[in-house]
Amino acid sequence: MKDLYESRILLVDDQPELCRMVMEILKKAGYKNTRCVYNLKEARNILNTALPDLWLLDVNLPDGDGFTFLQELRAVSGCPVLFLSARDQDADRLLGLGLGADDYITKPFLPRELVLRVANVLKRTYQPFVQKEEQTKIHLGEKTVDFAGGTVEQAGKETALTAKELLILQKLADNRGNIVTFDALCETLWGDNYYGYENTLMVHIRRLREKIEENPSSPRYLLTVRGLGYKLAK
Amino acid sequence: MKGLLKIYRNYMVTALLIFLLILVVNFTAFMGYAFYHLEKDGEYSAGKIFFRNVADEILERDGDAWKLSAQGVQFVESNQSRFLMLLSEEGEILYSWNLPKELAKTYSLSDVASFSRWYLMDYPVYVWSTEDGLLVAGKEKGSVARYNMVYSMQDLTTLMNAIPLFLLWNLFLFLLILLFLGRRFYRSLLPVSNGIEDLTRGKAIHLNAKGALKDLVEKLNQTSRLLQKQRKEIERRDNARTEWISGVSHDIRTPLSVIMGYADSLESDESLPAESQRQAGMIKEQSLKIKKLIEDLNLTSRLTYQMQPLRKQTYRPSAFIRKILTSYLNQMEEEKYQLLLEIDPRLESCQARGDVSLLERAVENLLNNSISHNPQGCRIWINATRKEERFQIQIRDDGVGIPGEVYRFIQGETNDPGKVHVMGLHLAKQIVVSCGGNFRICPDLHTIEMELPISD
Repeated sequence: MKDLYESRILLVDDQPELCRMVMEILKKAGYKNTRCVYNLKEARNILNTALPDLWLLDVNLPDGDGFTFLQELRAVSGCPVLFLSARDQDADRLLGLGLGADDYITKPFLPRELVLRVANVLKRTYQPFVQKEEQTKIHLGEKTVDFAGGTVEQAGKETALTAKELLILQKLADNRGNIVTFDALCETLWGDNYYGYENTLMVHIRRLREKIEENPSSPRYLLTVRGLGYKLAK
Repeated sequence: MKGLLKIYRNYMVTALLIFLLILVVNFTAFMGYAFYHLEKDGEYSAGKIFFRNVADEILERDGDAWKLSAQGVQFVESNQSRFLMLLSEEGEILYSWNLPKELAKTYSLSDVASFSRWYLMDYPVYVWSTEDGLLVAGKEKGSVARYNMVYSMQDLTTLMNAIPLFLLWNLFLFLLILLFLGRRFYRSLLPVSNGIEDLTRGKAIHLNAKGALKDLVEKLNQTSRLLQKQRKEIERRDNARTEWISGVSHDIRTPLSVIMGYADSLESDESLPAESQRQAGMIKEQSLKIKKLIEDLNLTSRLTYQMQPLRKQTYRPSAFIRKILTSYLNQMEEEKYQLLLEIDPRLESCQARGDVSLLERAVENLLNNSISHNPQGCRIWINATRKEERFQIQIRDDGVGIPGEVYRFIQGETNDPGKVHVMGLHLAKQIVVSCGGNFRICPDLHTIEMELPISD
């Protein structure tokens, strides 16, 4: 597989209209090899012939349910499965995910959500074989943070970041432009029982600012959102 | 009612029995008392028993003959004896005292047998066989009858004196019977009373009772069966309704997906006129609202009929609020809404238990209400404070406020929310209550308060 957009995606759903729409959405998003079947019987036939790269599975099907089929599928293949179901109970979602589904989308969904989730699952599963394209560098004005090397570089001058600073910066960069709460940051750094580390976090943030900000006392990138957390400005 | 009549009858019969019992006891006591006193008094005067006791000492030997001993003299006086005589085995008189002439003879066995039954020629006599022979003590003819009269009078006075004692005994007996019967009645009623209490708590009961309470208890059991049957029926209907709502909301989802999907692609279709794109966008927006509504409807019906399993977990209220607010701030593009957060520092260390995803939904519903009802923008204050064993989340805005009828509906003052729809608010309340909390709208109609328990 050269390209994720080459992935063969199979949709199992008994509603032809929905199938058509999903295929159109995926096609528009660039996925060329999509097809659909309307019941489990056909799905089983495919199971015995050529396995697709990604399954989009409905739960309620005329000749059985998707959960049972997933178990059959998992017996022969570990290929990614995404549930697309009208069942929105937590119990159903947990059951699906517990059985080894890669994601669970409840109907009705926005086309963009579907496309993003499909892309995510494909990337997670097949990326290593396609290409390694992780974001290892971010630019903060004049400075460049290199996550692989754990350094901040400005005009050829490198400053090393500590492990904790790197973690904080990574978390903020992953959510760049969005607020990340104290709680989420502390949890990244210290795990579940992070209570009491808030002040330590502030110390780390201050040191981080000294390294990445031009003017640490009036930060331009690493912003404090009062009462909530921090944000890495775009 | 048959059961009550039976109790009434039993009550009457018991009362009658008590009356008869008291009567019998009194009669027996009276007889016993009288008899005892008669016997006792007789001992001093004419009593056989007394005679028997002293018979051996009445006479003493005086050479070949006998004479009255000191005791004998005393006996004769106290007994008011008319005569005394001692008979040999052969019936001859060995000794006599004051013997009437007509009695001085030799007595045959048949004579002895005859007078030993009280009378010897109309003289009442007492007979006792001593070592020396048969001692016979006689009294004046007819004295016993006269004598009895005297003693009856004496008994009467004694009886008069004993009346207060009798009354006291009667009272005691009465109280004893009352206590016993009362206790028995209490004990037989106890299961009935417990059963009624269980009924009021909605439990099924099956009581057993004998006798008077049988019919009553059977009626109670019948009531319980009826209630259980109705409860099952209601439960079945509730389940059917919940299932139906859940089925409908499930079935709407797939067509709604198609609507939303195409509306979305039309909205982003550059080849369409801008107006059409805008209209497609509206279709998508409204579809999203329908989606939210059916989700709320489904959840509210499940919560109403206790069919929503709560997945409780431990969470930090402060982190919980920050997370919700952050996701709002991250998604919100418009500047016209201002979210202002204040968290009590004392709340930071607290933990609570609850279904976090449901609680998030509750808070989101409230924030969404503030936003969607104030399209011109507003400020929203979110305050979280610790209140001893609970924490409070207060959401207040300076927008148009909550309609009065919604306030009355949520506070439970009316069942009719009027023409406005309150599902979001109603659901928020249900969620908070199901997690053990309180939910209220403040009378200023701008503030909503929810209180939830802290777990440590």
